[in-house]
Amino acid sequence: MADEQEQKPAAKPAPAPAAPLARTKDEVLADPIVAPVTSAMAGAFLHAKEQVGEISLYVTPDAIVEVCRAFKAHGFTYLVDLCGVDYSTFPGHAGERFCVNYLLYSFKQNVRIRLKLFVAEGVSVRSVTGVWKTANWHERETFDMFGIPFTGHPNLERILMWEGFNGHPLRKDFPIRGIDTGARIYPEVFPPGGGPMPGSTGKAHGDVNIWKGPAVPLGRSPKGEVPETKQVEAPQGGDEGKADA
Amino acid sequence: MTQTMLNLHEMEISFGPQHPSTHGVLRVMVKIDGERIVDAKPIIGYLHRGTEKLFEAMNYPQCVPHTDRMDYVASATNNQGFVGAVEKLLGLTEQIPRRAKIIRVMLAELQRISSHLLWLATHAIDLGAMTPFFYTFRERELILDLFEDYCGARLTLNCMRIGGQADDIDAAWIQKLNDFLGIFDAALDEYESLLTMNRIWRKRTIGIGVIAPDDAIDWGLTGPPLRGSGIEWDIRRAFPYEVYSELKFEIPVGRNGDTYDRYLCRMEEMRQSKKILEQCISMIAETKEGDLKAKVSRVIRPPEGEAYFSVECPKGELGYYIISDGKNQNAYRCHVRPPSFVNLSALPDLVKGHLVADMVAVIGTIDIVLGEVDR
Amino acid sequence: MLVEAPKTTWTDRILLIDLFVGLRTTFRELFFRKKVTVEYPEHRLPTADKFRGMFRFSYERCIACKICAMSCPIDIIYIDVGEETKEVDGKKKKIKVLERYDIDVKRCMFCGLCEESCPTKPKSIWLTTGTYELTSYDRNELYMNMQQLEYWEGRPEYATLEEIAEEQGISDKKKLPAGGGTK
Repeated sequence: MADEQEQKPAAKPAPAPAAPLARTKDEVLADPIVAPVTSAMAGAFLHAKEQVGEISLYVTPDAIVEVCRAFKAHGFTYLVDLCGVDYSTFPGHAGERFCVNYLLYSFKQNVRIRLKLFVAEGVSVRSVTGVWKTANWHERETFDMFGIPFTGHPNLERILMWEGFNGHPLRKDFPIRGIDTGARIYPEVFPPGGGPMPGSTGKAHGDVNIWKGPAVPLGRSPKGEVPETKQVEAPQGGDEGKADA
Repeated sequence: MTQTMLNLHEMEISFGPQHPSTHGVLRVMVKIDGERIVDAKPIIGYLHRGTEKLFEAMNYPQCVPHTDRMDYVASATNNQGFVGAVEKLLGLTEQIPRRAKIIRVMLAELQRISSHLLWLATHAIDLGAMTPFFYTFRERELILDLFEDYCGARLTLNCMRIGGQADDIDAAWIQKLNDFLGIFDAALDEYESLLTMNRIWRKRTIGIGVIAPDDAIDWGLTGPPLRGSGIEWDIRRAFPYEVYSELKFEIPVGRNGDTYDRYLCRMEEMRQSKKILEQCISMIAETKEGDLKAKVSRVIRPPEGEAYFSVECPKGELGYYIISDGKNQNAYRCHVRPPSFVNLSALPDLVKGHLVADMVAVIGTIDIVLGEVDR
Repeated sequence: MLVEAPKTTWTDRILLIDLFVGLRTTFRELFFRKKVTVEYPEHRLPTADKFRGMFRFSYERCIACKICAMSCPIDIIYIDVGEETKEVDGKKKKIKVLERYDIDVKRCMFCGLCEESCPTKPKSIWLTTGTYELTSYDRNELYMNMQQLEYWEGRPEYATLEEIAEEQGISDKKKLPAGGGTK
């Protein structure tokens, strides 16, 4: 039973059987949960949406630290999650490529809100580590996976990939099967500090494949390129195969 | 008295990725001054498998077995979070049949008990108490047998489906569950007799890894690390899902925020889970057998939008943030908010000033599973 | 609810009561509880009926719809379907013939999604042979083709559709029970 429209709010436990229309940007901005901050800093909010009961506010990149501080002062003392999204292959998306999402929670009101921040590639975002200490590792992970630099971060290093890795895995142009990162193993073939640029498979360097096995492509069930199998005769008495241990 | 030739710098030790007490492949670079820890820097990523990237390449139903493998110790709650997030996007949350919801709660609570039993076993054995390991695993085997009877697997369950459940429970399973609950209280008392009042245990855990409530909120801790510091917050109460709003259970809260309080919180949580299971057994008798799935098409294509859904997994708040573009059968972005990752980031604050041997106690008390930290 | 440990008095502390309580527990366990260790591999615990172990395949029942390959999360099922012209009742008909059905068992995670999505009744691929002992010394042995999947390790052969129908007294093939159906 998928909804047809884009936004169907269920913010309050609505008893009305007819689904109300989606709230407009101004109505969401005027919601009492976020009103103290949105009215004080109206210029910082580009847009506001509400979906499945969650309020998302679109913030300008320059004002993010002030907005976060204001929300923290108004009870949103808990940063639940900070993640990045690459919107480059999203159908119908016209803005900047990357989006950083901040999910805040307020103990007093028991609500969550989301702040969204759109940045282009290469543009850095101001770090909110000074507002919530937990943003430290989340921002490191966003930098590692997407390549969004954070200014003012105490220790912006890669966290999940190893240092010296070349590429940002969760970007949409990073191949899902990975890139050949043979630099550590074949230093005479690859440049120091990481493997070849994403998009290459190492074939230019003489097809270096450390597994030396057949390349099984990922994706839908393929026809072809499967390894040779030995044909097995149908047994007479069912004794075929390995013996029981 | 005489000047030694020793350099009085701090020594940096790699509490390396291969270590029996780090509960996985975790590396902590510890700077010590004598025996006191001056600083600790966790280095993770050894178990990074690119789960979030894989989620973008598979259909929603195909993602469910992969969610099992993140927190491999408590896979039912992982499934529950993912399935709940997709259902929230689809708008199906109210249409899941009641029987399916109760079964999900039962699996989640059994999983909580099983995960806490494993936590107790490994935490105790890290600190030198080797006996609880054997006793807890004996009870844990009974729980794994229950899972095996339900869905066929013991550890990576893949037991929940989008829209409801795939398997049903019958009277034999409930009888087995009742037998387990009958012996569980006595088993918990047994573990407590070994540890709770034991002076060695108390000396090793009281006052270790203290975190103040405001710091705990700032560091984003959830689960027993947050509740041990005195903040009574549980997703099952704050944002009730499935049938938790109808169940009566209490949330154990500690006072000092040290390792001992977190240990007591988790022991009490196991007792509360037993209470929840007993209530569920009586609730499920009133539902119709076989009514397990909402009307959901075989091809799951949620409308364009994003949703965040969180569950209370044994480690804390496990959240799934799914963005759908409305046109494909796979998620555009599925981000997991792992409790172990966030709890682990507070490690430097928790161990400063303690002895090296306390580092093991603190890592055990945060209860991390590296599969979840690294995804 | 606030969790508190029970209070200790000074007599408990001097007389080492807490240590003795622990020792009593271990003493009881050591001498008065039944041991639960199962000495593998001499003794094995039986697996449950629903256990998701090694799978088996039935060529006779498979209709080559490829739904199992599409629902596998790791795409380890390789299916090739060809068409053959056959004489049926005097007319030439093109029917689908399953040419290749390979499973890369070494990568399987035994999630059961292929079994769940198989539309035939009884299912053509099912996971309940209860074997989890799949080790081998050669990696290539764990890439199984159709014949190996059918006659896996000398397990009882699958019952043919006619045999199941006869046993259960069902005449209409469409009403056969779901599930594996081994003899």
